[in-house]
Formats: sequence, structure tokens, C-alpha cells
Amino acid sequence: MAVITYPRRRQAAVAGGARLRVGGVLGFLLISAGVLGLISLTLSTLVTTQGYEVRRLQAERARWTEQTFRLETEISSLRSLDRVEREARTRLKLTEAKDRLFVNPAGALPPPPPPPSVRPTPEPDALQLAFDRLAWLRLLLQDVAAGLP
Amino acid sequence: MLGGLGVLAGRLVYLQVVEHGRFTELARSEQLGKRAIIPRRGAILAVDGHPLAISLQTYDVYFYPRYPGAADARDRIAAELAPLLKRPVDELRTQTLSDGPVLLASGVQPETAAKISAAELPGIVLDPKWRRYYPEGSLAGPVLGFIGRDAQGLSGVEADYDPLLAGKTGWVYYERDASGEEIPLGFKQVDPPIDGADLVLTLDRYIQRVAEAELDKALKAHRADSGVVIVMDPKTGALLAVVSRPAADPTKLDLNDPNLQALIRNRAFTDLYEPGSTFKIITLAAALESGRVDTGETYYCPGYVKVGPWSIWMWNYTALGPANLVDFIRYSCNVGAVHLARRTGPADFYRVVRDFGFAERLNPEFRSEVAGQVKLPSDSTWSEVDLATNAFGQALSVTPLELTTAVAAVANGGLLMRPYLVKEIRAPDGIRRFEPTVIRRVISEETARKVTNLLVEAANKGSSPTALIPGYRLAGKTGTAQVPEGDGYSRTKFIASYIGYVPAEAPRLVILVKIDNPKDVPWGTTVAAPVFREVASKALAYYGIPPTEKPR
Repeated sequence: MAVITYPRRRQAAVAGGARLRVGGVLGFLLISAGVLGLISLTLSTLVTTQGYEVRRLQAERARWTEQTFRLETEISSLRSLDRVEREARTRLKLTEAKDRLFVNPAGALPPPPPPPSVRPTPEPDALQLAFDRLAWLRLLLQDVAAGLP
Repeated sequence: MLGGLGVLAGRLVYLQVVEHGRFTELARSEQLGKRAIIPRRGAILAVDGHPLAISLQTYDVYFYPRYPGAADARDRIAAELAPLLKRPVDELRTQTLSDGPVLLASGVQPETAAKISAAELPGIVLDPKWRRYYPEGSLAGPVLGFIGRDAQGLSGVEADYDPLLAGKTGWVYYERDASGEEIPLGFKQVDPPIDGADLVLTLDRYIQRVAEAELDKALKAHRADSGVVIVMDPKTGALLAVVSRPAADPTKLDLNDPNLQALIRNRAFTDLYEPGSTFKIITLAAALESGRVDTGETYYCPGYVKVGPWSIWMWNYTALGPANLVDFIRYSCNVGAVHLARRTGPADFYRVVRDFGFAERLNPEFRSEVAGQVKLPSDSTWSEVDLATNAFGQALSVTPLELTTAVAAVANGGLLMRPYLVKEIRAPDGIRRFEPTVIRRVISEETARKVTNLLVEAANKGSSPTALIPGYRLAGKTGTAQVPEGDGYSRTKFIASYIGYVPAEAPRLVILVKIDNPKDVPWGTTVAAPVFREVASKALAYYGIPPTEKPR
């Protein structure tokens, strides 16, 4: 084991150097902390400013969206059938179409479907029909005979 | 001493550990406030995308007299607000004399609200509110329905689809001071609202408008109490127009009106009635479908028919004599209806009636829809006379929607389609489209064709000349139904109706017209059929459906 001893002057120089280094480091740390604080403050201010800006833009967007809806509603009101008819009748003096002409380029109407296969009504028996037409009298007599009011 | 410290420590542990959660929550609720952000209610659009009901932001203007400086600024407030709210200064001044908060104006437009806000009037608070606008005015009012003061749908589509239209409320959580006010730059968390979905309906605003105008005209001309018109696409079940009268105007709705319920209900979905002779289409279809009756069927009509102790008469007390199925429709023969129902038999008759959707809610999304009432042979009160009267549309009740859907099934080759009103839902997370749905096959295609041909033939022979549209083949039936009253039927009240479809060879439109209690004439052919003709002819022209016959 060996013990190294330094002369007193050397020892003082070493101590002075160490103090300088500590001072330098402390100074550096202080400056760094200051710079970091400044950066942090700047960033925080920036974020806050941007936050306000974002909120302003969001409000602006909401306002424009609302305006779009409002204008769309106005367009819809202008396109409403009541208004279109009013304009057509009063300003353009239009009247309702009465006759319509369908142009058939093929020159022929499509064939109608076949008629139903209904058996023709037989000729009514005149006497039977006359008898049937007095059915109400027959029923009335039946009801009277049955004692019903 | 030690004991005291122990008790103190125990209490600390209890407060800080055991009850930690509760006290944290209590503290947070004291520190944090929350306010709702009401989402925009979805719009209701017509089939072409044109809005029928849309929400826009407006503001309610309140005056809070206890706000610092408010009481002393009454004169200034009244003077500055008067030109903006277009109200007399004195009136506003009087209103501000109230001790509590007072509503000065509602529905204020954003531009005006911005000017009020810029004036920085003490005690004046702007409360944002969504307000419903109706660009087409009162068009389709009972179908759209209306919303209450709390912006909740109370009737019609507004109620049926309320959860979709309403969206999801958002919340702002904020740090507040001792007075409950929000701390600027304090903690703030926003849970954004989700706007309501837009609904695209199947309603065509042109057809709807035509149907409303024609029905209104007829109601006025015949001094009738109420009426319904339904226009349906038989291929899909899409409702193109649904008119219910009388109706409230959603743009001028008075929530305190005692007759409000009668004015807002959609009678096409809610009102039950005896369909009368229009039901003979169903009787005819059931008879042909049973296989026991064919188109060549003939019968003898002596003017009445005996059913047990009852005598059922022709509606006009005449006898047809020998008759066929065209005569049955053409003369609307009650005897023929009883004959067909008897030939069909109760089992097959009621099976087909039920298959047509009577006594059944057809679309579960229509919350207000009512199911009709049909007595079945299995019911203890059913008797033979029920079969006879049901055959010509008495002693059973249907809704206009049920009858239209049933006749649309005949027009659609026997397939019963689910009636629907909403075609598309445009939600923030995507678009959902509704496809037409077949409920079931009711009758065969051949039976449907036979029924159509018989109806066309009867129409051509003059069953309802007032419904005919030159150039188009029409399948339809009139109805003049008595109105039940007490144990019998009213002698003075009638329901005039007409239901039909055009063009008969390839039906595009099924139209039902029902008019209640006309005061001059009761007949369907005089009161309802002309409305059918007007609506149908305009709709055919609108859709560009060419005529298939040379006009006679």
C-alpha cells in the first residue's frame, strides 16, 4: 500500500480548482434551470395562446356551420312548393296543365292484358225478378206471421 | 394521552382510508360543476332530400334582476334591447321590474344575439336553444309530429324515432369557485355531444301536397268531419303520401289547445273504422284463393239473404237477379259478398283475412299504429252472421293503413309488403338504408291477377265512373260504410271511401281515400272517388307513367 502526499501549494491549487468546478457546475445548472424555465414558460404561454386560438377557431367553425344550416334552410324555404307555385302563378303567369300528351316513340301502345274469363250473366227471368223485388213484402208477412214486431 | 392519540389516529385512518372515495367524490362535486351541451336534433327530409323539419340554433333572452348592477340598469337595458327585439321600450321596462328571472324573448336569431352580447348589459343572459323549422310549412304535419318544450318527440316520426333524432347530450365539467361560477383557466373537460341522425322519409312532397290539397277541397265541398288519404308504392310498401285531417300546423302549434290530441294524431295509423264495401276486394280474393270459387262463378241475388234470424239486404234494396263476379263488384252486391264468404267457408275466409294483415300491427316502428279488430270463429261471441257481415266490411274494424297495405298486396301479385316511412338514416357514424320487406305471401299470383281483372272489368262497366282516368286501366272499389252507434248503426253518419290501384297491369300507386261524415251525399263514388282520380292522375303525370289505352 502506498500513501501519496502532495505539497501544501499543490493541495491549495487542487481545492481552488474544485471550487471553481463546483461554481461552474452550479452556475451552469442555474443558467440551465433558468433557460429551461424560460422554455417551459414560453411553451406554456404558447400552448395557452394556441388553446385560445383553437377555441376561437372552434367557435368560428360552429358559427359558420350554423350559418351554413341557416342558409340551407333559407334555400329550402325558397324551394318550397308553396313558394314555387306562388311565383309561377303570380310572377311568371303560368297556369296548371290540363291536357298531357305522352309521345310513344314505338308508335304503339303496349297490348292490354287479356280480359277476365267471366261467365256472362244469364238473362234474368222477368217473373222471378219481379217476385224478388217484392221480397221485402214477403219477409214482412213472414215476420208478422212469426209474431215479430 | 396515548388512548386519545389512538382515537385520533383511528379517526384519521377512517377518514383518509376507509371513506377516502366518498369524501373525494364529495369534494369533487363541490369543486366541479357540469353543464349540458344539447346536440342538434336530426332533420327530417323528404324522399328527394328536401328538409321537412330542421333544427336551427336560436337564443332565449333572460333578465336576472339580482345580478350585480342589473337592477340599476333597467332603463338602459330596456332602451338598448327594444330596437334589437323589436318591442316597445315601456313593455320591456315593465317586464324587467319582476323580482325573479324573466324571459324577455325566445327564438332570437344568432346575429341579434351577438349584438345583445356585445352590448354587455348586466343581468342579461342568452340561453342557446334549438328550434324546429318547417321549410314546407304545415306539409305532412301529423306524419312528422312535433316536439315538446323539452325537445322530446311527442308524436309522429318525431316520437317514433326520437332516440335517433335526439342524438346524445354532451357535458362540460369545469372547476368552479365558491359562488358556483366557472373558474377561468381552471380544470375543464368537455364530453362533446353527438348530433342526432337525419331521417330520409319515403314521402314525396309533391304527391303529399297534391293529396292534401285534394282532400282539403273535398272536405270543404262535402262539409265532412275528417279524412285520410294514403298513397303507397305496392311493390315496396313505401308510403309516398299520408294525409290526416283535421291537422294541427306544427309551425303554429299551441301546446295548450284542448283539442291538440285530435289534431296531431295520424288518423291513417290510429283510427279504426268499418271499411264497408271496399272490403269486398278481400272477400273476392279469399273466395278465389280458396279454390272453391272461380271467375266463372254466378249466383242469384234476390235483393236480400237470410242468415239465421237476420235478413241482409242490398244497400239500395234492389235485386240483381242472376249475377256474376263482375256484377258483384260493379253493383257492390252484399248478397254476392255473403254468397262468396259462405262458399269460401269461415276457416279459409278468416285465414286469408288475417294473412292480409288485418288485426295486426304492420310496422313495429310506428309506435302509434293500432291493430284492427276481427272476430274469429274461435271467439265465443262469433256467429254465422259475423261471417256474412264481415264479407261486406261490417262488424270488423281496420285502420286505413291496414286496408291500403292489404289491397297493395293484391296489386303486388299477392305479396304483402311491410309499409314503411323511413328510407334512410344518416347518422354521424354512417348511413343505414331500409330495404323493402316482404311480410308474407297472402294469395297466389294467379288469384291476384284474377282479382285485378275483375276489378278492371267492373270499373270499365261503370262501377265507379268518377274514379276513371282516361287512358289508364283502373282497379278499384268504392265504399259507403255506416258508422256504428249504440247497438246498431247511425242513420245519418257515413264513411265514404275509395281504394284502387293504377295502372292495373303494372300497378305503381295504391291510393286510399276515406272521408268521414260528409253532410251532403254519403256515397263513396261521389265523395271519395273524385279525390282518388285527381290524386292518381297528377301522380301518374308526375312519375311520367304513360297511358296504356287510348282515352275513350
